[in-house]
Amino acid sequence: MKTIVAWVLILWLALIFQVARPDVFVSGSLAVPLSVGCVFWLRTGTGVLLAGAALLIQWILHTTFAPIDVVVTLLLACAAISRDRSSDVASTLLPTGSRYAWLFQPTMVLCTGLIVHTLLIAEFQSETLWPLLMSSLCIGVPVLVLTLFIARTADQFGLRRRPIW
Amino acid sequence: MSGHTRYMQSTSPKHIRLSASVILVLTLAAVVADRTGTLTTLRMTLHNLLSPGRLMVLAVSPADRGSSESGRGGRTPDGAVDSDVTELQNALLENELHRRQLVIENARLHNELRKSRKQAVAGTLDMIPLVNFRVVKANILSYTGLSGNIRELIVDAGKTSNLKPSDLLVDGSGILLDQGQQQGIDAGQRVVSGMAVVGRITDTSQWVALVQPVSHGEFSAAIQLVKNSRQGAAFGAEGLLEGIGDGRCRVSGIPYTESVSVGDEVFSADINGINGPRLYYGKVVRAEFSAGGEWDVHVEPAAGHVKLDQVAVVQPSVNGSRSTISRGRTPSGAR
Repeated sequence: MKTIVAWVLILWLALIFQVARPDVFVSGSLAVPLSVGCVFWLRTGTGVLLAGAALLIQWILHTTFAPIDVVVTLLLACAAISRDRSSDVASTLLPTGSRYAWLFQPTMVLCTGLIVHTLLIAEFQSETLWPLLMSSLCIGVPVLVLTLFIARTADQFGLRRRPIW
Repeated sequence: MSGHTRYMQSTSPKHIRLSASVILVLTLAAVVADRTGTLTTLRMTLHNLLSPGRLMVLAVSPADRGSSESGRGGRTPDGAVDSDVTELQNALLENELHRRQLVIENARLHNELRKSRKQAVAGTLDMIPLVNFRVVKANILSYTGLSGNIRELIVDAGKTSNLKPSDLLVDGSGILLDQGQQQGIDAGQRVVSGMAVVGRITDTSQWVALVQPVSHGEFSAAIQLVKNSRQGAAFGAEGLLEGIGDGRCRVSGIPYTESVSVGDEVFSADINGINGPRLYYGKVVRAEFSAGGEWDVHVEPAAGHVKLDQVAVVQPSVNGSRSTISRGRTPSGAR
C-alpha cells in the first residue's frame, strides 16, 4: 500500500513538473519514464493501472491525434512483465535471458513509447521531431535508469517484494 | 487469504491483462469524449487539480534569465503583470469600438436590404458625394475650461504674435482642446473619441476650443435607436438626446407606440443636420412610459466616465472633386 501511494505521488509530481515547466521538461519526458518505471517496479495489475492512468491524464492535458503512445507503452510494458509463458511472444521480442534484461527491457519500452509520443506531439513534422525526441530521451532515459537502479538495489537488500514463480 | 497469496494473485498475468484492458477501455472512452467535445470539463478539472502544485513549482523555480521572452509558463513581476492588464484593457477597448462599428454597419445593411427589396432598380449611376467628413485630432488640455495657467501661457504667446487676448481666449467651462480656428474648428462641430461622441464645440479661438459634454444641460442632438435582436441589428425610433447634467442623458420625442428597451444602442441620426457617418452616444439604461404619451429614456454616455487624453473633431466639408466638376459643366448660355 505504501509503495502504491508513493508511486501515485511520484506520477502526480511528474505531471505537475511537466505542466509547470514545459520549457525544461518536454511533454512526456517525465511521465513516460516514470510510468514505465512504475510498471516494472510494481509488476502488478495495480502498477499497470497507475501507469496507464498517468499516461492517460497526460494525454488529456495535452491532447494529440490519438493516445496511441499510451496504448503502445502499456502493451509493451505488460508484455514484458507478463508471466504468460504459453504465448511467449514477449520473450522473443524482448530477450529475458540476458544479464541486463532488467535494464534492457524497460529501456526498450521507454524508447518506443517516447518515439511514438514525440511523433504525435510534433504532428509528424520532421523539423520539430528530432529536437523534441532528443530532449525527451535526455531526460527520460536517465530518469528510468535511476528508477531501475533503485529497484535493483532494493532487490539486493531485500526491501522489495517480487513474485517468485 | 494471506497477504502473500493476495500479492501473488495480483501479479498474475491474468490480473495484469485485466488492468491493461481497463486502461484500454478508458483510453477509448477518452478518445470518444474528445471527439464529442465532452472532455473539456475533465481537462479543466485536471488543470485545476494540478494548479496548486504548478504554482508551488513556479514559485520555487529560479527566474529564467535567458528565456524571459518565452514567458508562457513563468509568472512575471508586478510591473509586467500591470502591463499585461493594460494591454488587455486596450484590446478590450478596441474590440468594443469594433463591435459598435459592426452594429451600425449591420443595421445599415439591413435597412438597405429592405429598401432594395421594395424598389425595382432601373439602373444605378456612380455618384460622388458632395459632403465629406474629416476628423481633426486634438489633445485635451483641461477638463475645467481655460484655467489660469493656460490662460497666461496663451496670452503671453499671443503677444509675441501680435494677437489680442480676445482672439485667443474662450469663455466657459468644459473640455479644453489644443486646436482652434486655425484648424478649421467651429462651434457646433461634434467631438468624438473613436466612434463615441464626447460633446460639441461651443466656443473657439485661434488656438483652443471649448467642448460641451453630451451630459451638459444645454447639449442636444438628433439620435436614432438601434435595437439588437436575434435577426441582427435594426434601426429603431428617432428622438432628441439632451443632457441632464448628472453624467447622463435622456431622449425625448419617442412616442409610446415605438419599441424601446434597456440595452438599445443610441447613434446619431445626423451630424449637424447632415446625413453622415453614425456616431455612437451610448446605451439605454432606463426606459419608462411618461405621462405625456412618450417614452422617458435615459442614456449612459459611452464616453462619459473615461478620462481621455485625445479626441477628434468631426468637420463636414464639400468634396473637392464635385466643385471641380461643377466648374467644368457651366449651364449653356451662362458665363
